[in-house]
Amino acid sequence: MTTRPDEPPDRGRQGSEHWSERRSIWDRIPSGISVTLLAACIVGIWQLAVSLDWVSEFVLPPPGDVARATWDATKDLLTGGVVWENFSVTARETLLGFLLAAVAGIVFGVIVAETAFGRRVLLPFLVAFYAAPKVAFAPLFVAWFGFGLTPKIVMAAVIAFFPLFVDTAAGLSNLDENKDKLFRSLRASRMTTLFKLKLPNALPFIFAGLKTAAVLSVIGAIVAEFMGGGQGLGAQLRVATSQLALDRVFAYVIILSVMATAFYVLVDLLERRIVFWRKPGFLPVER
Amino acid sequence: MTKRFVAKDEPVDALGPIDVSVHRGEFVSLLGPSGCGKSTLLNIVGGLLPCTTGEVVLGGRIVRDTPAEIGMMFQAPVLLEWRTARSNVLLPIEVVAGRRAARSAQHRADELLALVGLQGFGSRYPSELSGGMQQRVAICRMLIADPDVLLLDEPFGALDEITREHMNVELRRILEAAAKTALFVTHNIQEAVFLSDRVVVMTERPGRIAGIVEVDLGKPRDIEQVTSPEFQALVRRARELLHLGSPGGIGARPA
Repeated sequence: MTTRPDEPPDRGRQGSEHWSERRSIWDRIPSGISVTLLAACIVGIWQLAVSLDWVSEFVLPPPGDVARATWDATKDLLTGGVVWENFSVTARETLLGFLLAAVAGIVFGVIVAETAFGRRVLLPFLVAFYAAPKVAFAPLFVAWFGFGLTPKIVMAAVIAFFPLFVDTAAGLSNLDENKDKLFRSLRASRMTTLFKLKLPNALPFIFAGLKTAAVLSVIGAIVAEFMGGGQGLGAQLRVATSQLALDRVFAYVIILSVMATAFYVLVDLLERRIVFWRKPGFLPVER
Repeated sequence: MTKRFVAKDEPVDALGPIDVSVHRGEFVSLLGPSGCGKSTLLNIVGGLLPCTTGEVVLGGRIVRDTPAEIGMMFQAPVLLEWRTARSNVLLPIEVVAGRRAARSAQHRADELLALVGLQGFGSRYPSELSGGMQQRVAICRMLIADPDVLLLDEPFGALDEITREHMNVELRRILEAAAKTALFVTHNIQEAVFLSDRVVVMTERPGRIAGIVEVDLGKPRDIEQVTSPEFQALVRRARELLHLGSPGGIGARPA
């Protein structure tokens, strides 16, 4: 085989010129700048809405107040104050709930995808449970598990469980026919096929589920704290709301969003390490 | 040793009745138009599909599931993306005998990779290899457990003409050295004649035997023979049989 060194670069250059003509203006501005600009616009409109009395300050605190409250809360968080105490409770509930959901979601995903019992008997129950409004269970969980961390961990796990379960089952079913043929021609047992082929093959799906579960486990913990009281940022959120300290409400929401985002990014980084053969998407797989 | 096989699929007759025997150490091609059931036949022999009637006989015994002594190759390389080339080659050993056995066969895997011209590529992942290189890894994977019988389902069909010719030469060289029995499915006449000791030409669906071309080109073969009058005569003979079997002329266009 001979390669003509002049040809490929030439074609490449033509291609990129062609492409640049079609690039949108938003592709050419660095996204750091455009995102900051949009954020500034939103804050500007927000400030205007408060200054011009379109909405009352009791309903929407001015951006300056929110910034100050967020600053105070962050300082408190980093110096080990009250916010830190509550944050660490919420973080612990989230993490434990997530781990519980991860184990249960993957195990049930495997059972449903791999066994007739799972598909025919277990699946209807899981779907019914999926459809149930799980938030309504929060007070019940308190009655069952007390006022400590347990009801919140359970709620975080219950809410984070489903996307992971669905993604795991979908990933196991999403098997290339040829790979299945290969393993059958190697006379591989069911367990060997599961562990050496199906599970690694499903990892991109499982990680999509894990990323969704990471965010949902934060929401689950907050909802449980909000409804069940006790310690944690969710409980503090409710206290602040009842005191109409809206700047603090916003501050906690911002801290929680950052926490959930960080958790998501952490799982995403883990995915890039483990599922190195695939370029992960920015958002989880759409369902 | 003979392999004998009769099948009739219903309600759509995909194949046969057909009866093919392959002798030990023989390279036999199944040549036919698309959809004639040649891949189906191969999958039945490999135990991946059941046959409606008839049986597969291997070395005197009837086989139903995939026999231990076969190695298969498919139209695509079918490598596992999360394994290195070496680890992909070792997969059959790992599946049958476990991880420790695979580790002790590493040296053999590297030998095979060197045999197909991939020395130094053992630690690469499939995404870092070209299509031809991936298919060569698949050849090594087929050979690692030293199977007696090879079943090849259009293994080079997805490759470009230049790479395909190259792979055919290599496959022929490797198999001549190893004295394997092989059943090779293709719709490429030249490829069939070049590789085979015998070419079984099949008719359109339901596939039957249109005729058999004995290829007496001797061993070893090299690519120069492709232009020889003897080779061309065999290709012409195979093409005539294809036309006989397919009145519409599908798959029998002059090359």
